[in-house]
Amino acid sequence: MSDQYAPLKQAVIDGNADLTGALVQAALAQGATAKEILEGALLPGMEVVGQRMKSGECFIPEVLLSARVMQGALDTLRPMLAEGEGGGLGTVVIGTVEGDLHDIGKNLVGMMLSGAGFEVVNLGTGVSPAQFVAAAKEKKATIVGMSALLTTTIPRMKETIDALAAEGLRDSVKVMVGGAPVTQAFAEEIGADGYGANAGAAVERAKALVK
Amino acid sequence: MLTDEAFAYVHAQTLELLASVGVRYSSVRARTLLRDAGALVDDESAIVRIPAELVDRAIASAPHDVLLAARDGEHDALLDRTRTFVGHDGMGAMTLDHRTGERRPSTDQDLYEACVLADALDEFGFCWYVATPNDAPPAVQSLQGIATMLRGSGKHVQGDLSDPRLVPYALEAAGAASPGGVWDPARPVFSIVYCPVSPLQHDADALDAALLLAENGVPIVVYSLALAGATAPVTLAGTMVQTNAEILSGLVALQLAAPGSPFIYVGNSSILDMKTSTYGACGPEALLFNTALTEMGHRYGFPVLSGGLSSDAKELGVQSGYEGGTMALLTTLSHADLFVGMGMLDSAGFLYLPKIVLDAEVVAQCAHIARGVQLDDESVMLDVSARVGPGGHFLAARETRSFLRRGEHHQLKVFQRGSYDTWRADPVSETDRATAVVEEVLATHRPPALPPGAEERMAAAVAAAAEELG
Repeated sequence: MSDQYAPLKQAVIDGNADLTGALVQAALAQGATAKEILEGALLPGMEVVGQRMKSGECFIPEVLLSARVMQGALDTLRPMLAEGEGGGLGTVVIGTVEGDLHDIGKNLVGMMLSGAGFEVVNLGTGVSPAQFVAAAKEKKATIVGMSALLTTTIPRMKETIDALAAEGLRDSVKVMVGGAPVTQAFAEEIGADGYGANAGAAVERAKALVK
Repeated sequence: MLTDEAFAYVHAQTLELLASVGVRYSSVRARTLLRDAGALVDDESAIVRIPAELVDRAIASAPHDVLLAARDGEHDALLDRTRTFVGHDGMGAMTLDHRTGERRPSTDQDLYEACVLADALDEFGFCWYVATPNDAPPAVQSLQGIATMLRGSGKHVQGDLSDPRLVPYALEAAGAASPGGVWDPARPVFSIVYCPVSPLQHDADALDAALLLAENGVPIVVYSLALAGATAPVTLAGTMVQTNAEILSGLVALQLAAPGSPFIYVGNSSILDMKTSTYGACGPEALLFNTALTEMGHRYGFPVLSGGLSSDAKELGVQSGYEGGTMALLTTLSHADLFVGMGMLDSAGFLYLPKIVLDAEVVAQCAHIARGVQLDDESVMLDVSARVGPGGHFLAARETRSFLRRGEHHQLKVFQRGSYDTWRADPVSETDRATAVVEEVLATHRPPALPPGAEERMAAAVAAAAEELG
């Protein structure tokens, strides 16, 4: 199975959208199921990309290209996947907290989470606790991810966690926080479940949280 | 930095110094050459007053481009003002042993390991005589050094040789290491640094050796080691003129003995630190000397060797990083053809192998800076900006990846970025990271093989020289 999908896996690693699309169509035409393609080629390809990023062998833009290729392939396959087969990692609702307009780091994490197989709902910037709660409910989120760059806005993170608890969602939703002023100690202090010092670490942590 | 007027002034003052004060040549052979060429020679004092015309003729006679051949055939350093080739610092009587933390007399093995590192690291363009093999017989240490450097690296090696009796042995050793098994003057795999003795003197043995080497096609670097305030005037201007005079007086003798022989000028001078009475290799004066003298050499049309990365500090720290880094950057931006300085501390007092790895990181950054900013439509990327639009991002653009792969951003090797937490989780010091690289390279890298029988021939040459010189 791995040999059969080696070219597709490589196309994902290379971030080659055209070739990935063509190979996915070819595999479907030969009778492969969406689940087989996902598990045999796409996810293993992204696994390699993740490893390479961690070891410093590739650049973040290369990870993102692969992630985008992965997303494109998933868009093709999603209608054919049964419930719970979409990579099996669930939905992440992410946003930059209220009062903060910085979003490059949050977008980076979002793109990499997509590449890793999560469904990502990006709420943008200036997201209030109420908006996080509403989106988490509506999208049946498994993870809510909050980002902040300003030390003046990080108190919103705790308020959002409290709001999730008040709505009875705290047990079903994991909370991740990140951004320059955030530390592991701060994450623990406000009762978040996860924190990543960088985008790669955040993806690893997210995967660990939903296992 | 030097205006036309400044260059002409320094040159005129140099000619005046050479013609009026003169230079002591202890070498009878050099005095004979100079006398025959029209210089005023006083045999009793050995002082030679050199007319301007002789100096200008020697300047015109030296080649503009010099080839420093590599025995591996892949790393030739052609000094033609288009590239900077970087080498070790030199030459250390001591080594700070990174395995024991002890500072002790350096050995043949230390020199060998420094050359293996140079062979493995892309930042190195050639090897310099970074450590003296104190475990070899004193009379042949410099010869042993050349043989060891050739064994340790496939790149060009630049050593020291101050005794004319060693010259045939050095040519035999270098010939053995050369691809054809014989010394090839068209492809010199080693060159020599020759040092006048400040103020204004040439030692007989050292100059006789240099003349003989030049006649055999060995490129000669003339490195004046004047100390401002002690063996040269206290002023930077006075020391610059004297340094220039010492180098040019060496050049005159070399070009008389071997017209057109390859010669390399040195853009470097130093001060005596007037509080500690020690050699001050670094700091503001050295930066000014290096920059100004490198430009003097280039204006004459010579390849120039200059320095950076070195430090007067005794340990790695702010001083060593600052002194080494600023000088490295200036030397790079001065477009010195050869740039020495990797691997030492304590005013080139001792070799410390991990510093080679840290210095290589600085060299790579300097090279990146020297590339400058590419200004053209593709690089300005307006098309991509139009696609991304206000509020978007460039991370996922294909062009971002392709420029990164082409080296648009310098990539760190031993130096660190990343988050504090990541570092805190595994706080390995930069010295420890560099030491790990040293150990990995020494465990895995093998320099290119020498021709069959070469090691035996080199060892025999050293042994025969030791026998002759006692």
